[in-house]
Amino acid sequence: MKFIFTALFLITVFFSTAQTYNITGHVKDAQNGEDISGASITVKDKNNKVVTNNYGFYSMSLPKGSYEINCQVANFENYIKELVLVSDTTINIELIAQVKLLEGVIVKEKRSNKNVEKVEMSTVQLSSATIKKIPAVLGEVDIIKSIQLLPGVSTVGEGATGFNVRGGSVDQNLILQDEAPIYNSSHALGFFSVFNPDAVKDVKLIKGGIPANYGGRLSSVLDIRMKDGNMKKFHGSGGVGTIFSRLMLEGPIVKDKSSYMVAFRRSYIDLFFPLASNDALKKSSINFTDLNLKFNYILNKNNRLYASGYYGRDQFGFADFFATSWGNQNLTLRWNHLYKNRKHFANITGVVSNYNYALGSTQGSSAFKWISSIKFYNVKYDHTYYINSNNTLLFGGNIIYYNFNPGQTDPVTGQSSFIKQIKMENKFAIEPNLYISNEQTVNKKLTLQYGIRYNGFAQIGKSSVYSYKDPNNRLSKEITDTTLYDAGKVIKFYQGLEPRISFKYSLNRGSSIKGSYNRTRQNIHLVTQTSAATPLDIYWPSDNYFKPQIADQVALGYFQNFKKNIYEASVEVFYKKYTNVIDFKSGAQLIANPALETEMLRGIGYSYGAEFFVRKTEGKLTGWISYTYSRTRRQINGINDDKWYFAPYDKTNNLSITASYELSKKWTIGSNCVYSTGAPITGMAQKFTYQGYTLGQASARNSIRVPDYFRLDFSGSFKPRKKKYWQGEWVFSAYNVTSRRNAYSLFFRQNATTGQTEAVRISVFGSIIPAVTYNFNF
Amino acid sequence: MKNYTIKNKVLYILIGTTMLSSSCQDVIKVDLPTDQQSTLVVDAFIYSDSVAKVALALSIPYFEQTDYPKVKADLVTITDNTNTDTLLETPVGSGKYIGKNIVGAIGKIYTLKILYNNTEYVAIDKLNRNTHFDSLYFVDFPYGRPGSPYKKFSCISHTDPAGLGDNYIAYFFRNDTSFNSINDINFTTDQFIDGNQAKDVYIGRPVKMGDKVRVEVHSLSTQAYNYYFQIINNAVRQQSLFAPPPAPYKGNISGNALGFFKASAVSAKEGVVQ
Repeated sequence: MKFIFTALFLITVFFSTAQTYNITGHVKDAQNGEDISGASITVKDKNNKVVTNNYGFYSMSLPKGSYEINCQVANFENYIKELVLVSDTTINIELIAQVKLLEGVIVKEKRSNKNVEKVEMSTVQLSSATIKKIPAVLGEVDIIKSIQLLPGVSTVGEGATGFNVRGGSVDQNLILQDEAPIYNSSHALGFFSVFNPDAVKDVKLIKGGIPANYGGRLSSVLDIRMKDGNMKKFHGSGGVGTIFSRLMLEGPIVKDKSSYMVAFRRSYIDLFFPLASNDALKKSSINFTDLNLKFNYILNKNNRLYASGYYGRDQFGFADFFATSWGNQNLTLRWNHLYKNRKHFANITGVVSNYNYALGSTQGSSAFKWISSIKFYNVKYDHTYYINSNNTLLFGGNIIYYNFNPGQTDPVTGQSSFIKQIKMENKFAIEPNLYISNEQTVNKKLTLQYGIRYNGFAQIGKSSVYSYKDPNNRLSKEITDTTLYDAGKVIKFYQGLEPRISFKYSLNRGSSIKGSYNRTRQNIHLVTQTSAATPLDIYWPSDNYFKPQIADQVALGYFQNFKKNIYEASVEVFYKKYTNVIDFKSGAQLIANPALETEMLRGIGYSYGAEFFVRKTEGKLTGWISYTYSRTRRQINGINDDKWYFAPYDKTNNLSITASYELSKKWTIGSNCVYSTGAPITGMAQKFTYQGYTLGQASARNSIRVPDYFRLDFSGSFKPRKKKYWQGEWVFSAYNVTSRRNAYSLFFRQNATTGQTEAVRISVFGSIIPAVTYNFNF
Repeated sequence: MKNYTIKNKVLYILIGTTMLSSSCQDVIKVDLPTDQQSTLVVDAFIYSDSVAKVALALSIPYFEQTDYPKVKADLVTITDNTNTDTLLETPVGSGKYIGKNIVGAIGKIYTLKILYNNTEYVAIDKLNRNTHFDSLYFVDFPYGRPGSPYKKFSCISHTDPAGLGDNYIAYFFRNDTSFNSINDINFTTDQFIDGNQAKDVYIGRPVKMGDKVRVEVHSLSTQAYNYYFQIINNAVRQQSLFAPPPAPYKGNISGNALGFFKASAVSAKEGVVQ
């Protein structure tokens, strides 16, 4: 603590010497007033360069003089302004979206080489426009499915929830929607993600070199920013699709001062169930809903408020037999404040989020309801100090309060249920964090980003802690003692530092070398036996038995752009070491188990790999090729006879090609081609009979591979001539055109008819899936 | 019984979820690890008022379509802590051993010993008390295929004795045919209903008017309950998208032998669907 403040003070003193003036301002989209983050501000013939923050703000210091300021970001025209700097100056920039002339040839003097120039590596930013070009399952654009086409990102199977980054598990991704954490990012058991693409402004995935202002998960950050709402005029967009329909409305409340955005999405296959002849189907439900709300208000030139909320729900029920529902709800409040000297930008964020699921049966004497939830409260302060044009200091901190309800079963009132109430104890925790980080332009070639993050985690009462005969491996589940801790009392406290260091060294204008090291700590643990996340997953805090998981990652990359930055290419290698990674004991029982520590063990792991990425960003043909080679293994005493084994998401080879081609002003076609090695699973090795049943004896952990994955998709979109207030678009898509039966999973069984023992492949899609969607803008 | 065991219920919900969401299954060829060894398999039980029965064999690679090699043990015995009974292979060469003098009784602990290949394999199980099987009756079942005569379902009610630790498995017979596939396994614990009466417990498969139905309820020790739970996880749940992976069986037989030795109290009821 103390040293952080001392360091901050020293840095402040050190850098505040020369007499300079500030150029500050916001960069916005001229059309709708949305903030543009990640825009580069450069000065002609000078070394100075800054990038706008998440709120579109920038600040730069220069000595007295005449300058030419340039602002550029992908998909917008460059902005150039000459000025004579004699005092602190505000330049608010409104960028104009690129106008396409002559069939897709973009008029632009200079294309951005941000990917080469910026210190950040292992990071991909996708705009909502890019994502919308990718052919998608059932014609619906999807953010999680899109990032799975990027290097270093994989999924265990088709239709699996979540994604795996550089050999990490699904819970090791920090998924933020307007700063609120999303615990389950999928709808309909994994086919669609919870992010409504009409409401999303941009998406940033950080796989390595994670800056110090992010923390809490080991492997990646997926930072999704929602649209703030059009500040200029009323606007709407939406779509009518095969599975669901969408509508997003946005507009100013007071022009250029406040705006709103509201977006809604619902699937509707179940609306036809009442027409079914089958009684069971009539009473069944399967649907999901998303509601996004956002409001922002510019109080004055130095203060701005944002409020954003999200409500998502999945319902899935069959007759009276069972009903399950799950969803995230969250609310984020933010206050941006720009200090008077315009060198300090601060943001205070408050987040409340609740992920919960319910499961139950509504019929008869066994009617019951099972509920589980994670509540999350976060207060966060982030401060940017634009010390001078070569140093930008970020510091801040936050404190999180968690309330985990691992599960509670209640009889359904009104039914003569003989189910007894069962309640697993809630778990509580407090997680304080502090960070400080500086981005320093050392010279024209070398840029450094170095920082440190402090992470504390306290599991607090009220809670019972069990003691075991064998506290290390809990091979005997016998509880020898129970200690009850009062509310608020600290049960276990962990703390640690997370260094984060990155560098960029430019070789020439079009190429650079980047490297990074980061340590990350994670204190909430996904307790699961399945390699994909399920809606019914249990999250558990660090406690006496679950220690903080720690990952150390080093990455090195070479970045090069070709043909005036039309082609971006990169090669990155990484090595990641895991400590205290957890996995389940064979045959673990995780449902309704208050002593999960008896079912989970911790150990070590590593992953390494190489990622190759080539992307064409402009022209009639755009898209990318991504190839990843990687391996990931674990060693946990008590699992697999203490021997090393593959993590369930070890996918050795991963190739994705995605392309979009503009045939004419009206027609655009696109295609995806994806290949990856089959995921490792645990299967059967031997068989025997018992009581007339033919049973299989399991193989070593994850020692069998499912068949390799391959998929080819096509899409075509047709944009009819724009009417005065209406632009329509038809999207035709064909997913899995080779009708390949990609295995989601394998299981082993005795065939009921032939009596033979066999391996059965489960495929989510066994054939080509055609779809039509109509999108509109007004 | 499955309809009041929440843990099982969750499993069935997950299986149901899968059935609706995955339309496509097919058989494929898979390479298995080759370093697995054949082991002794013991399928043994003693029921209330019956003698012990033991079948011995060896395990074989999972996809092999040959018969299981039968095992000839040097000695098979059972004791109830007072008396010892030697089981004889009947018929000779079948790998099946039957006891003579000791019959199962509630509350007793039985120890089975098998001497094979100079190794002694030992298994112990307790013959637990049973639930009070109150009644067998038939209820309407509207969810069958349209036009199917199978419009009824068998239900039982039973009263669990007070005190936790009771476990049961039910067996269903329709017109003297046993339905004993892996998908018919129906067992429960008293964790959620301790000491209460359970009503409307669905058993077996749909039935039609005039069918003769027999339901047997067997008690299980907690370790036997856990063994059946492993069977469900390894064989039935595998068909679900969210299935946990299969796990090596842990039975009650020493020395890494597969299989289980089970002691159970049996009560049965019969009825004709009307």
